[in-house]
Amino acid sequence: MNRFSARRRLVWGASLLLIALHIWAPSAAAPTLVLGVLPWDLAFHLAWMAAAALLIHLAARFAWRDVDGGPADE
Amino acid sequence: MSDGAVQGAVVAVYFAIVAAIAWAASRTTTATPEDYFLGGRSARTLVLFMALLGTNVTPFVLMGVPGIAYHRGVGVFGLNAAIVALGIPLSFWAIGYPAWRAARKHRAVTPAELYAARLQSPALGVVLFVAFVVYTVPYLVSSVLGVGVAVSVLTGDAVSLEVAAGGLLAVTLVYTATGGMRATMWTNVFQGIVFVGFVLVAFVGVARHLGGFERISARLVAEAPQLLTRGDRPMFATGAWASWGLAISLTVIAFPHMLVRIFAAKSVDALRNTARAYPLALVLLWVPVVMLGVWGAVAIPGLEGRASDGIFVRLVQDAFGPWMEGLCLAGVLAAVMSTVDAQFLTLSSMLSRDVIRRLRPDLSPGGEVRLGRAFLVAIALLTGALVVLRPASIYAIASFSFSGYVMLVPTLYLGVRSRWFTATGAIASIVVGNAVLLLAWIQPTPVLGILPVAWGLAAAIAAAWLGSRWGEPAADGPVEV
Repeated sequence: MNRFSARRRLVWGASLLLIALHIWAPSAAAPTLVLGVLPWDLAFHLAWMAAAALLIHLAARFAWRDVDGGPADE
Repeated sequence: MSDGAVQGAVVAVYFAIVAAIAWAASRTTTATPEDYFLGGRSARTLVLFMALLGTNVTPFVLMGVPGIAYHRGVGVFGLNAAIVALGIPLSFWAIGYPAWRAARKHRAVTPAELYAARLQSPALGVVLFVAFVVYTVPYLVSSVLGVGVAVSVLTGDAVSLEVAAGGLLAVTLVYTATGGMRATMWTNVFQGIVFVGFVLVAFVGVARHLGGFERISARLVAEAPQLLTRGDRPMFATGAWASWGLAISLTVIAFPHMLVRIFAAKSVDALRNTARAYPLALVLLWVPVVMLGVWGAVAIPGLEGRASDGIFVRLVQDAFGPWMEGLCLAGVLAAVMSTVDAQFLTLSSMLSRDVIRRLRPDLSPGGEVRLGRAFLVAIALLTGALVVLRPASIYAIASFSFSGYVMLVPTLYLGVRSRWFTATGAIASIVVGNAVLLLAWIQPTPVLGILPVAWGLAAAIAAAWLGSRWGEPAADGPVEV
């Protein structure tokens, strides 16, 4: 297994964890506002999206190989 | 100057800018299929990102989502936006990147052409073409319907849905036909700025009009607390939540108009950067549209059924004057046109590449482009006719299309990444997946609480594996990533 394969597996593993957290997300029983304006459900999913964005950033940097070694975009 | 004249002036300025961009793009477009349908495969990060975002964002987001949030509350955000912030970028990486590499190698312009070439099966190309068309046409109709709703609300029904839809289709047709992919991608950059900018301005402006973020939030707690929790609504039950998340995450990469734009990327850097930027764009768009829908339930209560599709526009009407109403209309037009142009171009490229070129292999490149333009006109006429019928709400039409596209995902993934997948497996997967989807769809309630899309996808995967007992896999093996 090369280093990209190992990193890809890490990305997929972390993705599965995030998906599980999304499916079984804690839901507020009563209407609760975070910081006085954000409904709990929205605040939770914004935090979840921040984690997803970080994962995608790391995946694009460390696990997404440029097989053809083409020129940079800019 | 009357309110209507102000709105008309703003929209006229928007159209003029779109026309100018499209004209500039058309001057650099040559009459070869690769240049006309794919912009010469030269899209860099900004253009690619805005084109994909513009193609992805439709009235489903600007009209349908506030409409459903009006009735179902903030849970709509988690249901629709959160999961795609992970799912869409992952699908760009897992399917988009190998498909992009293979499309360059095979010089394929359409997804059906790519997979037919890789698995050496013209029949698979035909099956994919039919499936893409069956699910793209309703989605196209839902896009245009969104404009009709916005215009009729903003003008107090002075401009009918039919007239609005006709105008939109005509303008989009002209710039798409003249400039091809390059015109649609360049205009999408401007259109993306218009609709994202408008949504953000509307979010802040409507909040201020309703007394500020804290005041409207307090009103929600007092007057509509049920909208601040998921509660026991069936759409938020675990089975439906998980299966809808699956559908909406996987469906985007299976839109042929998205996959074709990925084919147009210049480099892997453009794809990587697009994947990175996607979650942020989703937050910027989805938080406002969901919250506007929820606020609308308190600010303008009493809308029944699909009447809530117009809540975003009604809030803008209440909060702003005619200039902002005109910008609202331009924002909705931008969101719709940036999708419709991609759908038009992709459908016409599929008709000319996947159907006519097989029947007339001697067709010249210039003839192919001319035929593509003729198909654009036919598709626009068909769309206009279907819009007049207005068969269901925007959300319902989009849900149907989204589920259908998901049935193609096993083929799109395995077709570029598998060592054992064959054309027989692909055809079996598409046919069986769609059959099971339809069977599950006609049940009065979801079987075991799981939405039809999950049953269809499971069947499509099983059929892909079973069907691949027959036939030969791709001669050049899986695409390396």
